[in-house]
This record gives sequence, C-alpha cells and structure tokens, in this order.
Amino acid sequence: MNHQDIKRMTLAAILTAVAITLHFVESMFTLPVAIPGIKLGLPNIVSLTALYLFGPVEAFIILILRVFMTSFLYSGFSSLIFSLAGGILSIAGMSLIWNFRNRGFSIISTSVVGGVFHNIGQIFAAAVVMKTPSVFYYLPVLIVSGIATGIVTGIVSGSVIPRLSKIYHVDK
Amino acid sequence: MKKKDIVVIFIFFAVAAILWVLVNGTPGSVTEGEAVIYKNGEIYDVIPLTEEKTVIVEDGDGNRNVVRVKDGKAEMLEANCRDQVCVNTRPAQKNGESIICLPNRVAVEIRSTSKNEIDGVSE
Repeated sequence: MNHQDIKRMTLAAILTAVAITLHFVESMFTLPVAIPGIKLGLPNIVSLTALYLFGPVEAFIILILRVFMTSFLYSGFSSLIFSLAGGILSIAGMSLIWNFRNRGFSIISTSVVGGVFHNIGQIFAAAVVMKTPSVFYYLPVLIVSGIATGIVTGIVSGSVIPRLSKIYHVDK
Repeated sequence: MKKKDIVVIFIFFAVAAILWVLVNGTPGSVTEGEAVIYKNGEIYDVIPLTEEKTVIVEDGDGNRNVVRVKDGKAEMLEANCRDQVCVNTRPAQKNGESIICLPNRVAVEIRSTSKNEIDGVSE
C-alpha cells in the first residue's frame, strides 16, 4: 500500500463519517413545508465530493456505507429502502453527468441531477411500500425541490472540492 | 454556472411542469368523489366526500392516524408519527390528490366516482 492509497483510504473514511453526521443533522429538523420528503440533501455534498475526488465506485461505496450505518444507528430499517432507492438512483445519475464534466457540464448539473434523481427514487420506493401510485402526485413538486437543493449542494461541493484536492491529488 | 447547467435545470423544470399539468389538469374539486384510506397498501375505509365522518386508523403496533372527511375535503387531523408531515399536508379534495403518512403507512386518496372523468395519472 503506497502513500497515495493510504491518503485515499483515510479521506474516504473521513468523508463517510462526515456523510453520517450530515445525515443525522438533516434528520434533526424538517423543513417547514407541507410536502413529504423535501430535504436539503446535505449528505449529497459528500457524494458529490467523493465523486469528483475519487470517482463513481468510491462514491457508491461511501453512499452504501452511509445508508446502512445511518439506518442501523438511528433512522431504522424502514427508512433503508427509501435511502437506498434515492441514493443509488442519485449516484447513477450523477456518475452519468460526471462523465461529461469536460464537455460543459459543471458540478451544478451533476448536483441537480443527483437531487432530482434522489427524489424520484424515493417516490418509486414510496409507491412500492405504500402499494399506491398516488404518491406520484408529489413528483412535480419533488423535482422542483430537487433542482433547488441540487443547486445549493452543488455550490457547497464546488467550493469544498478544490480545497480537498490540495490534500489529495487526483492522478487519473 | 455554465450554459449547459442552465439547460439541465430548464429540462427538469419543463418535466416538472408537464407532470404538474398531467396531475392537476383533470377537473377541479370532485363533487362525486370518495376518500379512500389505505393502511399497509390495503383499503381500510372508503368515505364519500358528501359525508362528514372521522375515521381512526389504528394497528397493533400502536400507530394511530385520525382522518376527517368534511365539506368535500379529506384531512389528516392527527398522527402519532414523528415527522407530522401528513398532518401539515393541505386537505385533499381534487381527484388523485392524496395525503401520505409514510411512517405509519397510511394513505388517503381522493377518487372520483363519476364515470366520465378521464384520469390516466393517478389510477
């Protein structure tokens, strides 16, 4: 294991811990809106950072670790399916846009796609759990909220990543 | 923010707008409608919107929701879940509109009973 590997592993572990903390912080308060499922998407900051620092595989691993850890620690097993559905769809969408990062799509695009896909994934999970398609009624609102939160997390990650890449150089 | 970012955001807004029209474009308040209460994905109770009735949805695990149908609207009066999202949801009155309590797996959905209404989204 060389110097770079150790750096990568340590930073990935720190990012996982930060993601779990952000998830917890987010669960402390609900936004004062009358639509279920609207969240700030704070853990998505970590997913974005991991994606741009390491790549899709590491971002995916950090996401899975975060989802399972938070489910076991506080939010309970019932939220696991929602977090997984939202998180996996979100990472998939973000990885897609991330591939085009040198073709005019900035981190804002990636983040917005992540936010929107996360909400779409949660809606599908809700439709399966509730066994009713009526949850899709909320889809338009959740897409718009995904755009808004995506822009915010994109701006945050956009200012975090250059600072972190001073510690960890991407040599790909 | 780059030009293509604006395009991405615009596309999502457009999709949201189209979906919004599809969901809400159907006729407004339904006079001949009913509120269907689901518990764990199964129909628990069906109340015509013309009635005035309060239904308590309870299960063996201590989950409790109180649904009221009044003046052609259905609303969640009480829920013992922690997020209280359903209680804060505005009363449902339009066809396809719904109130969802995810922690207790309770859903209230407005369904039109008049046959000439076309609604391809919510059913």
